[in-house]
Amino acid sequence: MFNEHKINNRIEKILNSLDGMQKAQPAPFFYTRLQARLSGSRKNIWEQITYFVSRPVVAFSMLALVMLLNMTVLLRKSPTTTTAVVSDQTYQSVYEDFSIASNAFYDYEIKEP
Amino acid sequence: MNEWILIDKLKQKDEVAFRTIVETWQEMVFNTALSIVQSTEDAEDVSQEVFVQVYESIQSFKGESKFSTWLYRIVLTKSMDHIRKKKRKKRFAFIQSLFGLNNEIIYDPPDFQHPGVKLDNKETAAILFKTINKLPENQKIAFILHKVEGLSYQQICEVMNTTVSSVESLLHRAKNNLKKHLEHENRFSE
Repeated sequence: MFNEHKINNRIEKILNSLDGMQKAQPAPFFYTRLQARLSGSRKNIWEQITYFVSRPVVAFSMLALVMLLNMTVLLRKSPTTTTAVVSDQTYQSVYEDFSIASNAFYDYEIKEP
Repeated sequence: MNEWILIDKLKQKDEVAFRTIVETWQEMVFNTALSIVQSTEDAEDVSQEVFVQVYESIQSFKGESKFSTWLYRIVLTKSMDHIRKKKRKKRFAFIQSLFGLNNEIIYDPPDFQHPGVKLDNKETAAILFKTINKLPENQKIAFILHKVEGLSYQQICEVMNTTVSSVESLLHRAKNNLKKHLEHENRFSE
């Protein structure tokens, strides 16, 4: 019982310990330090752009946009036609580029694929 | 000089007006930040951030509330952001230390001593400030504004953008929670 009373008194004392407190003051020359910080925070246009782009929200949004554009481009193309055209074209271009055709003057039969 | 004239001049980026505003409000800004972040260096840092914000966003101050209310809101936001950033850094350093990437010793700062507290209350005030940190954000802010800054319920409700009855309830819950924590600690120390 006595202990309980002692604890309650101590708690009351702790809770009232801020009564009559004075306000804390910043260290002298606060304005001078503030001015230095303010002039340091004035960034040029490129710093501002870099700061804006490097913000996580902006960076991730841009990444998501690029991925979305990629997906849209990929999905818009019909996969079957594309493959056929590409393979035909590839074959043709390789054929022409590397002169696979045997067109030597001594070749009687020109075999084209 | 009238507050509104000063604000108008600050909107035109007048250096003298800015200096007058800083000198008028620096004590209030520093004192509030100090009670929340509980470190002199951090409070100085937050106070500077607050005035930089004031200088840069004074155009957005339309005068719908008092200048002091607007300023208190900036101080509270910056202080809470500072605490969150610090906690995040501490957590990150702890994770790094688990993987052996950071060998710096993580230590808890010593108990905070507010320079404005009376000498014979220093010990108990340090315990109170430590316990205040265990309160939820809103209760902590309401308690500090009332006990440290001496704001009335009406002023607190303007700053916190709420009603007088919610401020009363916040303060009531804050006191109860503080009592619970203190009781728990005192029983353990007995």
